Amino acid sequence: MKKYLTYFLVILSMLSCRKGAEVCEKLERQPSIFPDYTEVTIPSTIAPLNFKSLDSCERIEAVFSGLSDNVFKVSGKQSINIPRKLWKRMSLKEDRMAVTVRTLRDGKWIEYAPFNIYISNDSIDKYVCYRRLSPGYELYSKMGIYQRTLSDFSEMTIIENTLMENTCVNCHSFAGCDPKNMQFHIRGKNGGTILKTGDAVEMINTKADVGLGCVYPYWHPSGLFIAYSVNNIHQIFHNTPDEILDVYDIESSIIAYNVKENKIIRYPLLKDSSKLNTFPVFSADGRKLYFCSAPVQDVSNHLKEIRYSLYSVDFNPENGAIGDTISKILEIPGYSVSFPRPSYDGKYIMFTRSSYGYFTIWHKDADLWLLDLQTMEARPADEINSDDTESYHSWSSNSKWVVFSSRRVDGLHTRLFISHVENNGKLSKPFMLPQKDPDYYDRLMQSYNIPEFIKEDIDIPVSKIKTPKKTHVTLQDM
Amino acid sequence: MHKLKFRPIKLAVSLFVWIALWLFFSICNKYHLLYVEGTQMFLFTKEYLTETILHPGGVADFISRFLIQFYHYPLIGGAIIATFLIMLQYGVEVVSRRISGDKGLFSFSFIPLIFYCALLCNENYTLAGLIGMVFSVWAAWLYININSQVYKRISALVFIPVLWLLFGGGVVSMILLVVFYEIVTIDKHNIISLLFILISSLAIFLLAPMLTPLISGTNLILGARYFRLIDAPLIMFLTLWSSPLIVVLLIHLLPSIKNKVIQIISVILVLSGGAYIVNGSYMYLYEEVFGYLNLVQNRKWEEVIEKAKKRKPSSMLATNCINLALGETGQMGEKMFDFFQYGNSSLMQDYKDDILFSGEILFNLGLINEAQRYAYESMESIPDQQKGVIFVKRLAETNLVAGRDEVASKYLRILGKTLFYKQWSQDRLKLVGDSVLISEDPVYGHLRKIQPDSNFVFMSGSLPQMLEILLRQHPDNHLAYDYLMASCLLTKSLGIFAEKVRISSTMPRHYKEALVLLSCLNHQSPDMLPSCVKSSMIDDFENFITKYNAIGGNPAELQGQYGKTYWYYITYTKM
Repeated sequence: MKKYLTYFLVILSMLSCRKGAEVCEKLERQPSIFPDYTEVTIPSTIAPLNFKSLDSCERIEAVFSGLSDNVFKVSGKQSINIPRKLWKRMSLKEDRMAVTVRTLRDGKWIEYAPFNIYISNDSIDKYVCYRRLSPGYELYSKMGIYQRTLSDFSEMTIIENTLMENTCVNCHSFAGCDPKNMQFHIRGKNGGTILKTGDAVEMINTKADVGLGCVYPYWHPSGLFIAYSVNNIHQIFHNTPDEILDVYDIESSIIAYNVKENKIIRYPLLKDSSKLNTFPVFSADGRKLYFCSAPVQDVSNHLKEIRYSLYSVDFNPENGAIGDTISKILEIPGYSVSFPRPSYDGKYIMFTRSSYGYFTIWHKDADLWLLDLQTMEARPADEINSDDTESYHSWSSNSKWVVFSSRRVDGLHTRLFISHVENNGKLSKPFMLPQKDPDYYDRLMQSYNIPEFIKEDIDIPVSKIKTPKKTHVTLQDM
Repeated sequence: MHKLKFRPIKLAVSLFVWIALWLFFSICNKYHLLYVEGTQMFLFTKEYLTETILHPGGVADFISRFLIQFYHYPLIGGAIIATFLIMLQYGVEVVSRRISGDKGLFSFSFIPLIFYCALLCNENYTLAGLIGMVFSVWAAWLYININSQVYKRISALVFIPVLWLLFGGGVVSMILLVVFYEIVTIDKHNIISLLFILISSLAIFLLAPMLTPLISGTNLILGARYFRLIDAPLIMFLTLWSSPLIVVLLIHLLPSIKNKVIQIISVILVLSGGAYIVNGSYMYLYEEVFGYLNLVQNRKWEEVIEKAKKRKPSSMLATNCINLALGETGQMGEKMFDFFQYGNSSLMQDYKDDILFSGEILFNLGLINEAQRYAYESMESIPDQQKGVIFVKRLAETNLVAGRDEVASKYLRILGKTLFYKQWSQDRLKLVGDSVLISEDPVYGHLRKIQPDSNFVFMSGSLPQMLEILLRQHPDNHLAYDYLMASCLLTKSLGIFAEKVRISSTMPRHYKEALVLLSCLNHQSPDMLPSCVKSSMIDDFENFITKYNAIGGNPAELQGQYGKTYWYYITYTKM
């Protein structure tokens, strides 16, 4: 009886608020919402930014208003699920929308200070491709590589490890956001590297053929070479609340794969037993090969002294040869530089900075930094960093957007955030990859990993992955 | 359509079997059921529904997982399994009766039931397979009861693919039964119906790879998760699915038995044979270790010790649990050798040998990160890629203790979407972020207090070193101390033991026994022993030595009097 009376009073107060005084209380602060979409910059084609109130409420409504007369209102019980049509009409027309949120609490409507969503004219690629898996240790259950359409909420499976059970799929990589040229590894029995060039799909097994297991890939802009690191990877487990685990190399070097000639090119210059060389990436013009390098250390006592710096070497796109001189590009004393990712317009390199090592996803202090390739000055990307881990990142094909992974939501499960890169190199407040149901992330026990923008749909039939043409590779020293 | 006719005697027999099955599963397989329930997490969320249901056989999986959550109460779990098994038996019986009439061979209808019952003793065979087969057999009954040839053909076209889509490969049972039915009642209409069945069956094989390109091989044929491990035994399932046909065929071919006595004898024979087969398939060892695991997970330490006293544990994992229970109740140094010890592995297995039980030990020792890792790895090892409630609970606890509040809350909110762990999660959600409440909690407060302060790298093969580090950081970690002492005793490292043991008036029996032994080995005067060592124990030890020398080392002679002493362990247990 008491319950029904409460309902009756709530309805009554709603009606009184709606008809008479529209809002019973106005707050000066912006609403606490999840995901935090306040003051973010978005591409006009992004899917609706559905959100929920973090303040407890019986109902929520949001009024979206553009600069013109474009206004619409959405209401819900706990969350705002914006109709796609209304959202599209506004996001495609306006360059800013103001969102006024009201919540009904204890029978009273509370209105928060409005927040803005800025809409950039810079286009964004159609899709983002990522791996989703449990943020575990050594064992893994379900994992897969997926393609998410950014303009809606649809997600397509590229491959899941149900296809070849007990396998691990990782390191998907594309040539400059173009999925016509793509590769990913399948680890385990009958595994190898799946290589897609145009319509052809083949599997190479460099470990079996030439004794070199390829790990971290990066495509040359021409699509003719893939640089790989060859890493001897180990894992250890820490025992304090702030540190969980670490992954490190005891040796690593860099090679390249000539896609047309099926040749692994080995570079003696980049295989130095006193150095750990990893994360090779090509410059936007394809004439430089950047990589991270650190002196080899006795891991048992000096794990936290392994610090990588950024280096480069000339690269000849005609034959895959490298120059004779290695140049140090960036060293941050007391810190380690990892995951360098050059923008495709040649202006910047975004990288991860952490106090040591390279497996930064488990380092809470890991932040994203931006190296300006014209001034060669590096700065922390404070606009997008958080107190928790920021790690893997990649650029959109027009270099106007970056997508990166961060553990800021709960400290463990990595989520994807997208930020706009302004002409002056300033980054906008990032927005979390929107989902139809804002509670989706709360229920998802998996992490997002290796987000990569892609321009087109990945067209790779499962049958071709299941039974790929096996290509043997040969070895060439340069 | 023929009506189902229930015969009171047959119903009574089925009811008797139902009761027997219910008791068998809910009592003899109680901990099996609890383990199966704990290694899945049925969530009342739309993602869980779509993820479970949207693949061939998904409905069987969904129903199975929905029902398995009720294994939380083994009496209900046993009733669920018994009901489906009887539905299978009765389905076979009515199909057979419809095809061949009542030939007095009712007992044969229990054969598929016995077969499946034996398989279900293995926790890797899921309820989904049984559900799939039950629906399949009853769909066959529906089919053969359709009088109109047109409806029959339509239902052949519809039933078979729909059943496969909903319930998976168990549809083979239906196909075989309806094909047999059409053959035994053959005329020109049946040939067309047979053709429809054939087309419909072939359609599955042709369409399946297109519908679910990411599943292949045996898993595609099974559709649903009839078996939790990766390599499902297809031959076993084909035999299982054929069993209703074999029974129906046998009944059809054999002459009728009119004599009621023979009928009763045949029922007794089949059920006795069944009991023998099921008994052969019953895995007591697993039931025992699952029992210990469940008691340890629920911190029922006294019950663990009582269980071990009642029946000598037959596995190392059980010994791990007993030692943990002894440690938790402060009885390790006093009673450890009351139970058989295998050496150092009696405390904890190496990582490669066990992560499930070891995780419990690490958690209670205060190695929270390691307990979390072991729980996570155990969860990721669940072969059918489900998440397990027991592991998610542990992950919530480890993060709660470690102060990783956001992750802890996330796991707790997820557990809040279950039926039976909602309250558990709500109780713990109150603790999140409240250090005072946590410190007052007898379990989490203690564990938070003894967490390592400074970092070290964990190595499962070096337990004594890990325990020493724990003790250096928190000398009041009593369990770590007892484990370290026990490790010294079990590995016969008396020198280290003497170095580490804390002399006190309340020193437990086995520690004193070790000191007496050490004093003898070092040719020291008994006067040098701590005052807590009574002269009666020294006399007892001298008596042990005298007897040992007198009997020429025969352990049986000494076991009665000294079997529960450290002296007996060090003398007779080989490392």
